[in-house]
Amino acid sequence: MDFDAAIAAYAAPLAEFVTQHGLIGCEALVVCRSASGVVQTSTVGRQVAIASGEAAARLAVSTSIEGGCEPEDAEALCICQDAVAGGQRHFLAYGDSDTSLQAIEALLRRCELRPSGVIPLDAIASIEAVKLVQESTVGATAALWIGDHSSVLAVGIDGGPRFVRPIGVGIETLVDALTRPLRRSGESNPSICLPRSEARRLLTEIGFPRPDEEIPGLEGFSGEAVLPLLQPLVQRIGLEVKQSLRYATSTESRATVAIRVRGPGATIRGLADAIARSTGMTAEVVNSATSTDSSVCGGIEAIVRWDAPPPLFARGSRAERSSRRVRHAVLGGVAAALCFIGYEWFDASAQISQLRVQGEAARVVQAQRRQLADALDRALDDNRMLQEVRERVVRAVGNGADPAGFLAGLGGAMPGDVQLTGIEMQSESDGSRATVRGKLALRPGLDAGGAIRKFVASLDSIPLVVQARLGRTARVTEDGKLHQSFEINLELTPIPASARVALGQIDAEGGTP
Amino acid sequence: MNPQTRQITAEIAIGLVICFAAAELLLLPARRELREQRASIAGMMPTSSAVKAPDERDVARLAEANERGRREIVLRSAASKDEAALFAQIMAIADRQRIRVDQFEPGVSGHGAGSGSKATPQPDEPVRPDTVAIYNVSLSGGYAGIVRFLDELRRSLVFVNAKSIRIAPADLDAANGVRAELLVEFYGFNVPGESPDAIIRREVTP
Repeated sequence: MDFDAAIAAYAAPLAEFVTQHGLIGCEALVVCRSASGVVQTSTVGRQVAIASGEAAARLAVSTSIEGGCEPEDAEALCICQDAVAGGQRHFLAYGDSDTSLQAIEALLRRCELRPSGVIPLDAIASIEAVKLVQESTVGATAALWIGDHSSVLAVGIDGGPRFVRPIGVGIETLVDALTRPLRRSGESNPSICLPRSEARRLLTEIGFPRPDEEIPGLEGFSGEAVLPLLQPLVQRIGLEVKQSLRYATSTESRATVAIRVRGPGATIRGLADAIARSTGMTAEVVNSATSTDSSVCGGIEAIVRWDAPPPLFARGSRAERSSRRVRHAVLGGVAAALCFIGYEWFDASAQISQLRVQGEAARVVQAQRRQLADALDRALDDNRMLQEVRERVVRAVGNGADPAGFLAGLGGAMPGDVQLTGIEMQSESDGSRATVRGKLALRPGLDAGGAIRKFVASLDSIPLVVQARLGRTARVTEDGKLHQSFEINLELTPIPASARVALGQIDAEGGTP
Repeated sequence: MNPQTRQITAEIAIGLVICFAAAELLLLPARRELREQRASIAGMMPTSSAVKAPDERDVARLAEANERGRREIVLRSAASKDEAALFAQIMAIADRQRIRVDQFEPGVSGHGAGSGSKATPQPDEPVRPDTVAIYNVSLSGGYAGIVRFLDELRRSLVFVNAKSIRIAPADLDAANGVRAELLVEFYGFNVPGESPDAIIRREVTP
């Protein structure tokens, strides 16, 4: 059956399975082994960058694919690298023909599934073998992943893989061997050929029997009849293992090598022991609890345990995926940009609203301040104008004497025997003057001159008087009595107009203080 | 360029146009308005903390002081314009000081600087008031009363300047009394602003 026919044969049961389990529209990742698929491992020095190593591995695998494959259609990944300087990097590269990939994707679409890529089974087997080696961190280790159609051998020391290589022996090879004629023990001629299904059942249920072990369902046949068919394949595996170890490890390391067996082939009873006997080493089956008896299931189980390697896509599908990814990125970018713009707009709008409120408040405050400033200006202008008027008042009133103060002082300074006959006060622009006239009744023993002089001195001592001088005096007779009349000229102290006018003394009620 | 690449390029271009349009129509105007609002508010705020805003109470106090000053000048100036009020005031003072006003005679009154003289007076040059009222006042009474009268007149609501004072003993029938002849000038000054009549009316209205 060619590949297309095999694919077509899958369509009906797969569609039924998808419908039954309600998987329509789900993404489907295909793990398979196709005839045109190629899996290669390559090794470069650590000085080569991973990206360069992957590109080289893709280029190498693309040239090995029948029907041609572009390097970008293949996948490659660095599966391990030596930790020590001067070590190596190991790359796993895989690819498939575009035709096969298109056929697989078409099958999935026909079954209403969304293709999510194809991973070659051998790629998973190689990764599994490498992981087995990496798990054993002490001494030399050989890891054998036995699949349906082929196996993968990885050899490493102290957890560091040295190489990975495929071995062309798998479960189906063993089944093929069991379809060859089986000879009964003790008889030379009679032999039977088991059909393939029976041979598979025999391998699955009995595995590698002991030589004297009866084979259930095959009367008269014992292990002696089965083992010769299987032994060459075991020896081939053993040879491959030993040669590989000889290539990769030293003699001392080889003495303690343990073979770790995994994969669906590891479930075949006695296979691991047979390999151990063939190589003279110890063998250990390290299948997980969920190990299955088919390569594909084993592969699926493996990629569930760890991250799946990048899948392969048909060229058109890859371009479509790329464009879809770009479209999603563009949409995402536009959405993010619009969200940012929207957020910024909302933020700015909120700030604008807030600022408007603040602006209104600030405008009110500003108006109040302006009003206050205007009022202050007006008040200052008024004050300036009033000050000018006050200065005019002061200059108009001018400096002059304080008549009341002078008269009060005069009253206090006047002796008892002096009689005033007149007081004259004149206020002129060049000063204030006063003339005090009086008379003194003469009597015997009175020193009129001394009394008048004393009076003048008293007037002179009044603070409001600048100078007091005796003027004209005369002896006169009035009413038959003799008097000494006199005249005193006074220069009065000019009182500043500001003190005389006493501006600003008006109280709030308008009265005087 | 294959169709797929062309389509993606077109989609990218459309996306960019949408983003730019959204930014141009929504974001940029909002940001512009935000900047303007901020600038507007910043412009309304005082630029320096050193510039102190006027205190409302200080302004009110100053305005009140101005009002008091204006009222005082207006009321004091009223005596030079209203003879009856001046006489009443003189009589009131005389009554309080227990002296008698024998004569209250207007002299030669006139208008000062406010009536037409527009020349700016020099600092030492005497300034003429806006209005001048000259009166001859004869008083009789006790010497102390005359003295208190003069003192109260100086402190009363007038701008007064006693140009000359003559005091002589009174007639013989008035024991211990004196007679005083006063030549006094009452000055009036114009104050810009509220009408003096309004101020006076407000003062006399209870």
